Order: sequence, then C-alpha cells, then structure tokens
Amino acid sequence: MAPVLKLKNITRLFGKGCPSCLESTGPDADTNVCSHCGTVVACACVSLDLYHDEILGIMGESGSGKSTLLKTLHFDIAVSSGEIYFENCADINLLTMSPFEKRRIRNFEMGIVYQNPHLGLKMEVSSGGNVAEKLLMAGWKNIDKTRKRSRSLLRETEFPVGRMDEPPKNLSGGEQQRVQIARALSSNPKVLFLDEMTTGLDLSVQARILDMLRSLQKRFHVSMIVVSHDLGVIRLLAQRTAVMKYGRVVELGLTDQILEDPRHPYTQLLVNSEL
Amino acid sequence: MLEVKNLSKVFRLYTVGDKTIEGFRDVSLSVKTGEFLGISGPSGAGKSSLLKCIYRTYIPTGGEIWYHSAKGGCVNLATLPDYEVAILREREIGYVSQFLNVIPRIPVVDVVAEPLIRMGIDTREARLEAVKVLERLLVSSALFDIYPATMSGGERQRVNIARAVIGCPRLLLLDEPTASLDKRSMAAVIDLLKNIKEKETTMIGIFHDPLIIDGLSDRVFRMTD
Repeated sequence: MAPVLKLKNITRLFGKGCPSCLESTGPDADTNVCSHCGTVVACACVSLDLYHDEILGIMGESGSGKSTLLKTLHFDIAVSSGEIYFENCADINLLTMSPFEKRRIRNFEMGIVYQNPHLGLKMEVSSGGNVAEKLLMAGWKNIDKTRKRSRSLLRETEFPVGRMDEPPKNLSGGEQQRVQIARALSSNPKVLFLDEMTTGLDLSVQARILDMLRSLQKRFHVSMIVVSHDLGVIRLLAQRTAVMKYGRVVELGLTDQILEDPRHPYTQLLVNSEL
Repeated sequence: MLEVKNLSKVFRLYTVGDKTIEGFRDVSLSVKTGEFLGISGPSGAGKSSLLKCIYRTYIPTGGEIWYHSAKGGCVNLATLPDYEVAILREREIGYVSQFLNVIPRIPVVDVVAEPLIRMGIDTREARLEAVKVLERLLVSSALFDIYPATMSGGERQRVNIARAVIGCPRLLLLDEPTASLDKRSMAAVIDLLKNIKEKETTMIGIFHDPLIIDGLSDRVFRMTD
C-alpha cells in the first residue's frame, strides 16, 4: 500500500553548517549543536511514511525537532535537504516545486493546527472569517456557501456557533483551537498536522478536543501527524509512533510496542518518566 | 495457520543499569485453523510475553512467527512492517487481556461495536450486534450506556471479551481474560468462545482455571522457566 505522504531524509540546520554537522550531533553525541561550527541541527535524515486513515504520533522532549519537522512539511520553513512525496503527485519531490504549486498543495491538501493559535489564526478577524479564508484560498468563491460551510465546520468542532462573528482574541484557548481545527479541515485535506494542539489546555477541554479529533478523523478520512510530548495524547490517538531526540528518529513502531516494549534507551527513559 | 519457530524474547533495560532479562527462549509451536491451543505454565514462564510477541506489542529478539493471512499469504509477524501489522490487527487478529485497554469516555455499547464499525458495518447494526454479545455475556443492560471506567472488574472483562469476539477475528489471542469472573459469567464466556470456535476462529489462550483449559483446548502447550 502506497503512503499518502513520504518523507526522505528531511534535514534542517539553523546556522551556516559545515561538513561535520551531522556526524558531530545526534543522540550518540548527546547534543544537537555542531561542535565545529555551532550550527543547530534541528532535524536530520528523518524518513517517515504516513499511510491512509492513519494517525502517526511523533513524541520527544522540547527541542527534539518535532515542530521543526512538522513546519517543513507544511512549507512554513525550508529544509536544508530532503525530499517529500505526496500521493497525488507521487514522482515529484514537493520541495522542488514552485512556490505557487507548494501553496496550492498546502491550501488544498494540507491543514495544520499550531500549539500557539497566534500562528494559525488572525486574532482580529472574525472566527468564521478565519475558517472562510482557508476556503477562499482553496478556491471557494461563493460567499454564501463559504459562510455556510464555515458554520457547519465550526459546529463539527463543537465551537459555540453563536460566537462565530467574534474574533479569536475574545475566545478561550480551547475555543481558539477549535477554530484552528475547523479552518484546517475546511478544504477537506488529505493530511492534517497537529503540533502540541492541546498543550496548555485544562484536562477536561483537552479530553473533549481529543475525542472530537478522533471522530473527525474517521468522518473525514484524513491522515494525521500528531506531535506531542504527552504520552497520553499519543496513546489515545496514534496507531504508530516515532520517537525523536536531537533531531533524529531514534525509534519507530506501533504505539503499544513503543510504550510497552521500548527498545531505544531514550524511549525507555521517556516511557519510564510518565507520571 | 500459525507457526512459531525458535522464538525468543530478551528485554534489555537501559534505565536500570543495562540489565538483560529473558522473557522466554526457543519456543516453537504451531496452531491449525479452527484449533484452540491452551498455554499453561508457572508465572514468569513467559506466557504473556509470547502472546504479546505474536500480537507484536513486543518485538521478538529471535525466531519467526509465520501467519497465513486471509489476503496477503504467509507473513512473518516478527518482521512484518508496522503498518501491515496494524491492518492485520484491524481485520484479522484480536487480542484480549485481563485489563480493559480502551479509550475513556465512550459508552460500553460503542466500545464493543467499534471493531464492526471500523470494518464498515452500519453504526446502528453494529450497536445491535454489540447488545446481543453483551447480553450473551450477562452484562446488565443498565450498563450499556455508561463508560467502562465506572464498571466493576468482572463487568469490564466481559466488555473486553465482547469487543474482542464481535468481529469474529481469524486469530484470537487470550491472555487470562477471565481472571476475575464468577462461575456463571465464566460459563457464559466459555459458551461464547466455543461458539466462535465453531465459526473457525483460531485461538491461543492462557487460562489458569483448569475448567476452561479442559473445556476449550484441543491441545495444551506447556511453558517452563
């Protein structure tokens, strides 16, 4: 079975870089800063496949490169090297495409939810407008239909629809995340990227948002990559999980295997650290 | 249907000073389609570890697990790519332990119906089927709409079993799923398992109760320390 999204050797450096960057960083070197040139290796040689109807978890502590990886997939930041293949254009490395084509793929086929709603939403624009904006980018032209679709999406994410004309700055953290999710799903994307989307929300809101996501995943048949440092979130959502440290994937497996039979020393430490 | 060849599992624990613990060593067994293989042995012999290796919650450190899948021919579960294992779990291989390991905040009837819904069966039909299985296992209908977390141990175990058998998996792995059941519910469980065995579900089960071992197993595989 062909994956929806295929990542090959995704590498992103912050700094000028030198030939020794990759070998002098990573879990074995116990750092992500190159000792020769001071470059930060945020992610290095990450290869992963995302399959249909699958939720892939990525876990690791702060600074392990999880968010950087996700942002390169959404073209928010450029990669230093690597390839991304998408099933609808399987032979073309997305990263070699023109900015116009990348935008088209992002608007039509991808959605993202950031931990920080300020990254994903325009805080001064109405919540309905935030959802409609993505629809317009994905080619919707009829204002009336766009508004109806925004409203139904906000309802799906259990947002209080009566408040859809209010800007996100007036909303609670949980409500802002619901607007982000509605916006991300609006164009019926093939893949959805979720970056620590419930971190910082209180437990009951977290639980309701995670439940809602699980049911939306089934209804929309969207494949998801879920980045979280929270083992509970990963256990609840992901069928397979990758563990990252210092920019590398140190272990990849079925989620129950990662949690019950972790084989990499770092995964064992992480799993044993659960409260 | 399943052939385990020289299977071993060694755990290497780095967090407690790089210790090595042997789960089990050099286990070979085979199970025919529709057969019930009981596994017996003292605690610590590696019975659960063996089942978890077959389900791939554990990754074996040596040996092979050949499984004749319905679609993909003969596959080695010890090395099959994760994603394909996930698909087999969804469609063919079930696992049930004494602990209910389900998502919280879902009513009992939906917990049980979920495997059918994932197979593409209509939600209402799946719920009706779930009710039937729960009734067979003598779970009180007053509990159908509540969350499993609020139920007693014995009730949870029956929910667990109902969920595992509802889709009639081709291979069902049972790890003492009846540990805290009374005689009457136990009889209902045995009755149900006999029933799905007739529908050609192959089973490998760990049970401490000799009553169940005798009542269900075609053969018993004994593990030692």
